[in-house]
Amino acid sequence: MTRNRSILLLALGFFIGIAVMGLQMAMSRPLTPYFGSDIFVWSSLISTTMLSMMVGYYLGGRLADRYPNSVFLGVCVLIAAAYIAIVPWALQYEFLPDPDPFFEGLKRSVLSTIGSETPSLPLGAILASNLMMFIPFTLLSFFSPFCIRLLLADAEHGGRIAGSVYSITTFGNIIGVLGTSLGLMAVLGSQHIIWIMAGILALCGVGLILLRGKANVDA
Amino acid sequence: MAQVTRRGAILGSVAAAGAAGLGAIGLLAANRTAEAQASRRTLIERRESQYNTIYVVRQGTVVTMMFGVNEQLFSESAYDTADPGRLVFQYTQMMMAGLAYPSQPRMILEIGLGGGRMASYIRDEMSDASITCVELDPAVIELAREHFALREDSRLRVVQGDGRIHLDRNRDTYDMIKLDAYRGTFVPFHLTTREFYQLCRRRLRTGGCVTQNIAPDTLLYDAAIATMKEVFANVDEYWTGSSLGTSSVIAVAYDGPRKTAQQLASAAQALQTRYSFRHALPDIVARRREQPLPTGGRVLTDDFAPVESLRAIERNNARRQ
Repeated sequence: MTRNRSILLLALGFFIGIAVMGLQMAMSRPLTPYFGSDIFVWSSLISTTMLSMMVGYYLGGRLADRYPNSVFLGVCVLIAAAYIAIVPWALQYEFLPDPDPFFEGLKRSVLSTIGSETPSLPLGAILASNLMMFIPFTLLSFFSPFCIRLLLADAEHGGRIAGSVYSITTFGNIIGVLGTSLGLMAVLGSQHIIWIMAGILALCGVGLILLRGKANVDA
Repeated sequence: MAQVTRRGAILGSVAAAGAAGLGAIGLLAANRTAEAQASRRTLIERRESQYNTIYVVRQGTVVTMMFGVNEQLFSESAYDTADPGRLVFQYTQMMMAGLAYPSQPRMILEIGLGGGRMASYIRDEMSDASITCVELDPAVIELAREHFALREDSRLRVVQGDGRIHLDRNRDTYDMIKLDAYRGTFVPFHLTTREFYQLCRRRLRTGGCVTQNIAPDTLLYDAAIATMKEVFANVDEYWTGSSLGTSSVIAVAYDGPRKTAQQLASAAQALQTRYSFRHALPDIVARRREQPLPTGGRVLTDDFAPVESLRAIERNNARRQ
């Protein structure tokens, strides 16, 4: 990878970082009506993100060694974007808008059914968070190990490359958290924010594919 | 749970807390005249819970529960130990207006307990009515039991939990749902939305009503009225004062044709004869406002309910007068 392509790759990492944390903030809104605003709603969102990272870093590392190119990563990011654009919306879709109490059972969205039918609310919140976020966030967590694998030129500079990758994606995380909670959520509905983040991710996915980045060193 | 006090009262309350060794709250210097008054107030208990910092303050025979939010104190509930049957805050008396709307008020749900004085009043005055109170903060429930003479029995049940979740998970229906879930000026967004009122509506019996305490000083008031109007056929208003700037607002939302003043008066009179309410119900319903409701408020939804930013915008009181 050339120097310019490397910078572009890191820039895409910054935007993916924004989207991940922006989504985590926005996802709190659809959960609150059915699980409350208790602390466990946040712990379920955070633990789902962490679980996705745990799985995504591990799998992503192995896949990066096997397919060390940005096209594979871009496809994964595109899949995540599509999931995020569709699934949270579908989980909230109400089959009948405001029915008679008699039909209430039919009307429920999947999310509200989880909220009212699971025996324990925290358990329901964890289940709902995972349905909304686990698969796409796992795919998005592929980014860091892929990025390190692609940028690595020699062992001598491995530390600073890994450090740069974590630093730039985490910087994106900060912008995502603050920008969403303080900016976007005051002016836009949560579904629109989720779609905006899906759009950012789709652009990143396309960018990664167009980048056609190959690893600097072969195995 | 709350009456939102006017700013002067807030500062006075802060001074009271300061005199009790809580000067760290900080606004003490802002109101010197309140300091003299403060000497007559004593702090009985201060409790930090998961949701609130709660102060229980005694002044004379009146015990008040206050929440500290953003360096201000807000009165949530008051109890006169010398006259337990009295509803100390005027807005709590006025919330009883909702009782005149259903054909027979028997099953009542209260979201937001505070000291539980309104619930105790309903249980004590109405021998055949049952009230269920849902309160999020376990510490509020404990303090209500300790300092506000809250006694639970078969007709007064207290449930710890989120009001909306409780409604969602229980199919019980009510003649009146009473909403007062404030923490200072803050209302959780999911208790302000169209979907929330639709859920309330599904849990109402025929002729039932939602009675809500609304703080009228920010744009959140316009939004609350707009959202209630979106879901219910009628919204009636009661103001505690003569102008919006000095009032709390009680909104009663219900379906069917709008009640005439005559209908309300005779329903209230029948209930008054039956229960001999301490605070005469006919006098309360006579104060219904006949002026049009505010228009142009934003309908809040689960998807978009920017309660924080609406709350931050002071409402121009002149607009309605």
